Amino acid sequence: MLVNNLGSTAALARPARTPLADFGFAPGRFSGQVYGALLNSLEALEDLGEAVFSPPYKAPPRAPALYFKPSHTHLAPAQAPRIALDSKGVAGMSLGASLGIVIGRACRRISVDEALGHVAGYVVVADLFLPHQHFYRPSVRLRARDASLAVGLPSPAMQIEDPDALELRVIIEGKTVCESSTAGMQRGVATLIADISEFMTLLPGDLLLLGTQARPPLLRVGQSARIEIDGLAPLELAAALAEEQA
Amino acid sequence: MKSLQRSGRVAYAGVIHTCVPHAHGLQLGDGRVLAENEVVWLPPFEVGNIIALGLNYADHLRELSAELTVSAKDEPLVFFKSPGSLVGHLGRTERPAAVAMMHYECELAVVIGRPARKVKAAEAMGFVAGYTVCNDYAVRDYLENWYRPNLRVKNRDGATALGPWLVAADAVSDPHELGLRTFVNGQLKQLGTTANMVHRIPDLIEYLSDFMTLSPGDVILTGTPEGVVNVQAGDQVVCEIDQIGRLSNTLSLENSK
Repeated sequence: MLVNNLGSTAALARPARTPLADFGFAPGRFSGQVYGALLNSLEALEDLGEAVFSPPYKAPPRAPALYFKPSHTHLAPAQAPRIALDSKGVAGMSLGASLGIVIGRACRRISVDEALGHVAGYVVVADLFLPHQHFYRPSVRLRARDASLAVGLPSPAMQIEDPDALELRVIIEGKTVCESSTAGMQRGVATLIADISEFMTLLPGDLLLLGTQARPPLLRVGQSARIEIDGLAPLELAAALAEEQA
Repeated sequence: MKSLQRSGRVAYAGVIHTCVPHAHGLQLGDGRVLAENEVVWLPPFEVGNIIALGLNYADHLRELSAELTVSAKDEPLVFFKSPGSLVGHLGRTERPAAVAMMHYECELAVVIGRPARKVKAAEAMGFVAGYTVCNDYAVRDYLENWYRPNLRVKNRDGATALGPWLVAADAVSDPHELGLRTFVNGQLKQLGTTANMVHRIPDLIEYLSDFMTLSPGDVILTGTPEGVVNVQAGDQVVCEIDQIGRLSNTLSLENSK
């Protein structure tokens, strides 16, 4: 509570809730906390080659390396993503596609065997970011821009037999530009949840991105896209707008 | 009418209250006066995005320079934190048993008061609602070089203390002329001044609001000066900033299953 200079009480406005849509099974709504697993795709890690053993990294990631997609990045359903323009006016952001894991029960120090029992559902996620080759610093300017995360409609976990074996496709302007799979991760769904729960609590409604695919395509201004993951509702992205039009 | 310049949030007898300072501790909105240790202190406002700065003090940079490759001219080192990382004044923070180095970080926390997008430094201070004190613990044993500082180091449950008071911006003479001090079990361990920030508050707001909308309740943790040392379970850590407040925290041994 702050009191303004007129002497009346004016509470600080409540933090904006995520615009992500509510969904139809427990916990029913997203908390607004979204975490992505960096370089969980073994192929993406292999693309870095021997560099992972050199400074500044010195070793491949051991514990899960996570990044945030806070509420300012979240797109409301059907809202167009925003593409940052570089200094030359060239527009393009990496279109990361990931399986999203909707947490259903609080996860703290849980085992791999317990982990899938804490998942409420799965969802298709588009994570847009400015391309970068260096992962030493968190780079929130590249990772967490306004209107850079789109989330589809979740399906209950019981409908997905094996979340670690789902085919994934990225289609831009009607053309399939990327085919990948939720297999081939350093950590599958259960291991990722268990290892994160060693140092922090995942809460109901939190959304965890298993990991975007290696070599994500660029999404440019004016392009629409679709991401498909087997067994889940596809995610349609409206034609992207330039950030400056925001 | 005189404007109110300090407010807090506490839980007392099963209800969450706003409160103000009182000579005997604090006063609830309904007039009741309580001692500081009769209530459970919450972060003093409803916290939105938690935006933290690393390596934002010239002296702390020198302190760590042996292991770093950054200089003051680099882009600000920014990372986010989860709501679960927060703990109020007089709270307890867990220390993992098997680590060699867990340290406090006394930081000036800047609270955003209205939506900010593409704000220039010259106008930025008009978007600040107020300030509070933060103690942003780090467990250095878990440092890895991927999106460093990684969440295992800096985003542990209840390891970011915030409070006790939200101090209105207009009650603070100059946020870049404030002394910071940390006491461990009463002994002064960290001494600095916000004058030594590398990236100052208006510049941080310009930098951040260029790519993200800052919203009321978002908080910017502006980094810590030199003088961080290892602390142990049982230690009482008090972070103090001139004009802002005195934030106390006690470390306990981490529960394991």
